[in-house]
Amino acid sequence: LTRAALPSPPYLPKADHRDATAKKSQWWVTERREEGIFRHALSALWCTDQKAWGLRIDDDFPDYLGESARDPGPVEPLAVAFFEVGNPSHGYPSYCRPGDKDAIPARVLADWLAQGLLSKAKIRKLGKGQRCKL
Amino acid sequence: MQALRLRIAGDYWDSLIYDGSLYLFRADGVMERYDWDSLIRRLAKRVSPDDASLVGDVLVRGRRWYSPEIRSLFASKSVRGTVTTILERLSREPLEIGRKDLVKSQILAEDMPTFPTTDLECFKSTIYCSSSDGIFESDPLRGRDSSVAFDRATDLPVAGIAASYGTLAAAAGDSGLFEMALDERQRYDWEPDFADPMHVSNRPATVCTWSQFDLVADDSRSGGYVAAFSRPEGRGRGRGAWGERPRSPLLELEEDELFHGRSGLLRGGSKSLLLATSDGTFVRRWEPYRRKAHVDLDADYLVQSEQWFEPSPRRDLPVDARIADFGIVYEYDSSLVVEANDGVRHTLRGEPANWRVFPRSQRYTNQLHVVRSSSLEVYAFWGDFFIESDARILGLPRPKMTAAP
Repeated sequence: LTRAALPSPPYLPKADHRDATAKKSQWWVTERREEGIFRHALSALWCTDQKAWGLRIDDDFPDYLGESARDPGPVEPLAVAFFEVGNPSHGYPSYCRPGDKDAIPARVLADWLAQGLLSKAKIRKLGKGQRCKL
Repeated sequence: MQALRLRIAGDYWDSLIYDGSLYLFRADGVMERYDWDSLIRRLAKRVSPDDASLVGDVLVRGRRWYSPEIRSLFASKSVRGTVTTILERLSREPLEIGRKDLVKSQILAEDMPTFPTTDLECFKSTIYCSSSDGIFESDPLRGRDSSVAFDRATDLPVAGIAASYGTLAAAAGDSGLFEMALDERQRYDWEPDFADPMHVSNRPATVCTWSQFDLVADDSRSGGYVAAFSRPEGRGRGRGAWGERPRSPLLELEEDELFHGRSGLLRGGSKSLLLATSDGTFVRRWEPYRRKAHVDLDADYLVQSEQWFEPSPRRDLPVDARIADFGIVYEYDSSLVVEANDGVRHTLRGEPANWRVFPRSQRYTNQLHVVRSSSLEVYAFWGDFFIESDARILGLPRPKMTAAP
């Protein structure tokens, strides 16, 4: 059974990740694209029961999908989105730091590497919580 | 400072070298173990039959070159000149190790228990690997042909590990800094559960290093700190010998307390702390063995002289840094910079997939391993052998190059 075979959960973008709320990371992509990144994360199985991790892939290359919160800053571009899968689901750009609730599982990183979506260097930096410029 | 450079073609994720074995961790999640000594012996005979033993010694027994016996030989200008000439010639181009060479020296290939790993460590003949799945340990050195069985030591998600003093330090990101005793003799009397990692600090840590028996943790967002411990007592005062009495945590010192309000990347090395900032690199002597056992810290004992390296290799903050015997290695967004002990800077262009130095090694302290997109490059810095102790910018003091009586 794959996630794609399950009913698609409803998705609702959260306003505070789009209205420049200082303590919230901010999306750079449209709401439609945000949901698309979420749906792709589910279909690619970059998810657990309650969490998912997404990338913005344009023409086979990853791109930043948002930026970190102004408070506490510094504001930095972010390449990965974290989603809380629920009813409805929502998500936001995230550092996905190790040890945090949005840390990326090794299985998901391995798939990104195997598919050539991110280089070995980027995968290593994401997994270790290091600065990761695309 | 010059280095012999080996290039091993292949799609690798990371590498380790330990006690005569090279471990190549492939990007498809397979760990390969090779007989490093035989691999280098064959390579040396092929590239320079007359100088095979010299090449082999630089790559196989790097630390021996720091022995008083060898250094007394280098007191002779003609000996030094002859050796230098040969090594300079061999250092002009990378020495290639092909698949055929590797196959002849391969000992085993096994699936990794987790992939991609966040860090690797080898301590007391056991390999440790960490990831978001936890920490796994193996003992691959029991018999040349045996297979490797990895066990999960903990399911704590971990970003970085480092072993010393019979313990494995684990940087668990926002969950903080942990330690695991690796041997029953190292069990802490205050440890709540031997099987579980012990929580050393709640402060975030994505990197951990050692400076003597203290832990040095760092996090790119919340800063670095030293987790200071009471002095272990017993035999082997100068080293982390097995059987020492337990040490216990005393307090945490933040990087700005230690470096006059500065912040950057904090790393530990043998008897030193390093703070890499965008303005320069600051190094302090760090000698916790001067600390009185089981009493609160006295700042006079803690903080020794500060040394400032100027200029910083670049004007931006490194992604990572490590103290090695041959100098300081910095990682920037798309390059590695080696600030060598002779004051010469080497820039290795390109974003490394992974890189590693081996400061605790008995034989490979002069090596830097850099994993590229399609190869592993091994740098064996030999110029460090010829630097007089009092001319070394950083690193362990070495015997003077004086002739034997």
